[in-house]
Amino acid sequence: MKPKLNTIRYIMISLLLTIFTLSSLANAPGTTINGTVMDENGEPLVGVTVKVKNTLKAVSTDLNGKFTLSDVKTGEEMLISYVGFTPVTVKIGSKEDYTIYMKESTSDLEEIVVVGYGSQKKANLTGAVSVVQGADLAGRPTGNAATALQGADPSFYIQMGDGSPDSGVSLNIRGTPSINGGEPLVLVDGVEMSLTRVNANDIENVSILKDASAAAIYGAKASAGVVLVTTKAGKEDKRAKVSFDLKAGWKEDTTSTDYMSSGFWQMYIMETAYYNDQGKYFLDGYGDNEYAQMWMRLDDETENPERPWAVQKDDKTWKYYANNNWYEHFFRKRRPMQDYNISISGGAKNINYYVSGRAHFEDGVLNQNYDKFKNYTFRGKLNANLTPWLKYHLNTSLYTSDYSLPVSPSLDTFFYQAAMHTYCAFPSRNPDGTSLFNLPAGMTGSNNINVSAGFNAMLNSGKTSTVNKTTEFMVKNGFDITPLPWWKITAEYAYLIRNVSRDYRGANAPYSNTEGEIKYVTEAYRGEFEDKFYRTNARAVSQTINAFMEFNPSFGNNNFKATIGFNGDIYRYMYFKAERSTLSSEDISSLKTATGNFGDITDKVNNSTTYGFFGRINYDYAGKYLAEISARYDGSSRFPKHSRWGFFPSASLGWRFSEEKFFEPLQPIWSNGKLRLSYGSLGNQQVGYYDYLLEVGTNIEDRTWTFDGTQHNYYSSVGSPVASDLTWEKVITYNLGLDLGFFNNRLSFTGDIYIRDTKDMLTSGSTLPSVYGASVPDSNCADMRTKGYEFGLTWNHSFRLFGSKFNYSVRAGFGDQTSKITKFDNPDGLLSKHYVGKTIGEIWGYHVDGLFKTEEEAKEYENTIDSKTYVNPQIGRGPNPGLHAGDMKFVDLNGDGAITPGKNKLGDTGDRVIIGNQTPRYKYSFRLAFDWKGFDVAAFFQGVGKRDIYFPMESRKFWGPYCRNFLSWIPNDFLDRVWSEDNPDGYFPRLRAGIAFNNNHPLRVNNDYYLQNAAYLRLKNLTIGYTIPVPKKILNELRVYFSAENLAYWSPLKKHCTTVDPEAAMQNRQSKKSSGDVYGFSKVFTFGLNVTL
Amino acid sequence: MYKTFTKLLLAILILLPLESCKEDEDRGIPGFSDITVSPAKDVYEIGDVITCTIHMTKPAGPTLKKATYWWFTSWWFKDADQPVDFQEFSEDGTCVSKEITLTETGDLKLYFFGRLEYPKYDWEKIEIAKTIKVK
Repeated sequence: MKPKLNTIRYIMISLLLTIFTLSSLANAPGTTINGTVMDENGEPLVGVTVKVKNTLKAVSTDLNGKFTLSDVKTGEEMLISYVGFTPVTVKIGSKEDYTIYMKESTSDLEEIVVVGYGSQKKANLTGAVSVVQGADLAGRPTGNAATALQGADPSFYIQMGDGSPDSGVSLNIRGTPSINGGEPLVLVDGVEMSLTRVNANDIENVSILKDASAAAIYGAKASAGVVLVTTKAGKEDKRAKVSFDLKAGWKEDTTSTDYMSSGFWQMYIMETAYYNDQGKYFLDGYGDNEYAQMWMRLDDETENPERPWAVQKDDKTWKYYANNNWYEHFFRKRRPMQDYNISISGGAKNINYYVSGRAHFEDGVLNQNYDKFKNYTFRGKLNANLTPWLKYHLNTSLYTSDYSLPVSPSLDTFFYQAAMHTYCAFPSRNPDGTSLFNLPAGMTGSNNINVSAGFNAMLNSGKTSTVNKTTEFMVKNGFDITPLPWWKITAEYAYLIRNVSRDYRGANAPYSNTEGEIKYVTEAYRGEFEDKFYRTNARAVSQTINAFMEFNPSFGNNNFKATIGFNGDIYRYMYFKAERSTLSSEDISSLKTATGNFGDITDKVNNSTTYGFFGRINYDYAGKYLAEISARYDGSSRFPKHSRWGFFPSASLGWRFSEEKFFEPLQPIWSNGKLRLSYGSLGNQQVGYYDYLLEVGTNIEDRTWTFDGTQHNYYSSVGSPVASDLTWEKVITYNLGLDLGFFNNRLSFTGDIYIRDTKDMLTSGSTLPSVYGASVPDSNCADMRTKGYEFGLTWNHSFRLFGSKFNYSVRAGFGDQTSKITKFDNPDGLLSKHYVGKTIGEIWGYHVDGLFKTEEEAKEYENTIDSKTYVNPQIGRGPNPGLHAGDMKFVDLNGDGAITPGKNKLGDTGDRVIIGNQTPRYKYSFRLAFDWKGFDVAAFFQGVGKRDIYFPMESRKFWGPYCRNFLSWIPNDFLDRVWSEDNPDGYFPRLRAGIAFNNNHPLRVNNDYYLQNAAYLRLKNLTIGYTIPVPKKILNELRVYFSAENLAYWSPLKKHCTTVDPEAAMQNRQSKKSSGDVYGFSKVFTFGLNVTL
Repeated sequence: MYKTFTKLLLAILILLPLESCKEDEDRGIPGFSDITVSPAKDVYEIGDVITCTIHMTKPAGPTLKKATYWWFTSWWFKDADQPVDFQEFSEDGTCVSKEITLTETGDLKLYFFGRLEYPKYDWEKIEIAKTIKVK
């Protein structure tokens, strides 16, 4: 799409002309009154709005709390309002000077909530909006705003990719809006930015716009909701406030790492499992003698010189009898972290500023050559009143991070491979210091062994490195123009540049299996061991233009607020990669020192542009009847020209019934009540940049071919056809909300129920005949309906305890939603695709009626079931084929004498039924806090009430040897959970290797017996602080605190598995990440100091 | 208060070992004598051929599923080709090693090892050693 920049210029010029014309009309002469506004303690309040009711006259108090109003008449009323204070109405009499005292408000109804392109009083909101205050996030020992916001609101779900310091994050509000995904739009001070790049200490508040009416003004990017992060700002005429927040501590795994280190037991378990399945041993070089050798060393936690772990044979190879804790070899139990924050804020007349900086350092979990993360952030904000009607604001932020790893870039691969063939009987190094890798057939038996797929040798050599660097700089300039008190125009331009680079140095890794003979792991084994260097650079430039104006006139009890404007986002992404092999130095990594072939040379550019025109009208009658209409007309370059533009309207109504006359008798108890109803439609443009275009790719072929006498190895190919009529997915939301307040709003409740219809989801269309010869193009042909609800409760109170004020608060939230497919082109009802009526996340599986208790029971069952069917053919293998006590009893639900999946379609699902759902349900959180005599304690809990997971084939930390027979990291209590004749209550079946891994094996197929309940409750944060009383002349505040993140969790999953965090188990079931062999989540313990000058 | 606490502590200290003895009795862990070496000498010489003997002083309980016993010496730990000397107890409760030819001087530890396999993988390691001098 060619952006019509001329149109934007025209709009901007028109706006400016209008401003200057109208600003000249702004000052009108008249009779004058003066006044001073103060708080209860007699301190003047700056910036208080003083408005004459039923007129357009309004002014703000100056630095001394003073104001002057012109052309006022006796009998008129002044409405004095200020954030955090109860509004005051004063009747204008004959006097000329007024002194007005305002009381701090205990109610959050006066709270100003940031909404799209503006703000609103919470009391007047008609959309579903949650607010998280920055004060609740500050001081928490989290790496960034994303981790700090986890669980803060039950409808806002934040899933970290893994526990690594620079992990990505996936977000959703009220669940994912489409089968194609879709994430909320995150705007930090109006600029699209990742939450992981924001310093949580900079956050003033976060507004979560949940329904379409609240988010509608953001149009095309807001179908999944909007998260508005507002950072802190200085205050006019306040002396400089300098705050330090220094903390240091350590991180630990959230899960148990109590893994076996016994060479004897780990090998015994693995080999027993393999033998039971195959009738032979995998490490068949380890016989009775070798097991006796390991048994003799059973108690040696470290190598006893008298009983060495590697004993040399005549042929200079070694026999290994170690007790090596490979987990502790590869991973650190405790990792230090430090975090230093400083902020300076303040202001003078007509100017305020906020500057902050942060340095964050932490070591990662890798134990051999640590992975280290460094991050610096900076933010600066300046607001200046250039004239009474012109305000300039500047907002800049800088984020840099540096994450260095001693392995190849894919940590997932490392976590996955590290446990492979890492028998505890094998040490990491031979007695001569060389690393273990390949133990050829004959050394440990008839099988070739590759210890940890070479990663042991890689880490020991220390020559491989990956350095990921991110730099993100944002600058936003803007003007607020206030031609009239009720009319404000904002024009702003933001430029954000993000640079993500990676330098990777791969190297051959030396190893040995024979003394005196050094070999190398090379690319012939795995790509990670190629001696090469590559550099990637991804640069994204995002430009945002916002121009909007807000009218805020009032006529009697009729209050209006109208916003119209334009938003443009121009995005450009450039990626470059150059790779070359065979470097001339082990220590200097550069393309210039490489002498081998050039490898991957990639150059990629993506552009996208979104323009949107929006408008919103808010109306309230006496703060009682509320209405809001908004609309956005959006164009996106991601769609073809004829379907590029979309119109997205929304409307909402509110009734504050507590403001009605009939409610007055109830006011002493029931202080607030509001009913909200909204409807809105939004577009989802989260599709590829050029999905509507048929791409022609260029490729390089290993083999050359001759054309016109010339040899070529490049060729072009046409991709699969695309649908020409791609357009927006549409998300339509209906929301009904209720806000209640009791006891002067000490107790407040807010609840919402909603229906969200997602229409025209992009997915593959009708099945085409195979003669078509290409994959079916995606088109807008599926619908989904999501139904959900959420509610929040808050209780704030204080009383005097032993002469001091005891403040306490309780806040709780709860939310749930389910999504069902309402349209999908799957007439046969194939379970391999979505189908109409399908609940998203559902798990189909077999019913298992426990384990056979006796051989007789197993034989009797075997006689009733066709042993050649889906699950049972595998029972014919091993030394003792057939079903036995300790095997799983699959139930023949359809009574056909076989255990099969049927035709895998609705109406013929064989013996399978829906056994669970992996979507997190019943998300909840609660926060308890109190402060008294300088002590403050806050505990924040968060959880999921229901979620099922069937661990997939690669889940080694759950299945252990049932998955693969050569894995390390077996929990020490593993055998307690395995069925045996003398452990008939064991949870896992008769020990057999591979039955969770191989196709159609009993544990590989989903079944309800091994379906896990991954619900959890987590003590997300516990903070205990003490504010040391010091004279204010010296310090404003001196506070010491202890804060712990992810301190503990409770989950039914723990009954059978303590090594996988229930949140980490939420990964895609098809991914290796689902195994829990990922960078684990961490508990963080920190001690901190807050100093405010 | 202090006295009560001391009494309680003493009671726990006394009962704890008893409790662990009780557990051993339940599992029926066999008892063994010290190792005796034949021929008996104060100091042995290179080239001497010895045998080791141990007696089962208390039979294993009925829950024992399987027991494996063997002999080993300290220098064999560093000899990859030296297999352990698996032996069984005779009916009279005696277990004798194969003949061991002394080839190294210094203190030599003669080991008797056992692996007792009880239900639920609650296995027990037996390690009894005797040191002899070789010159």
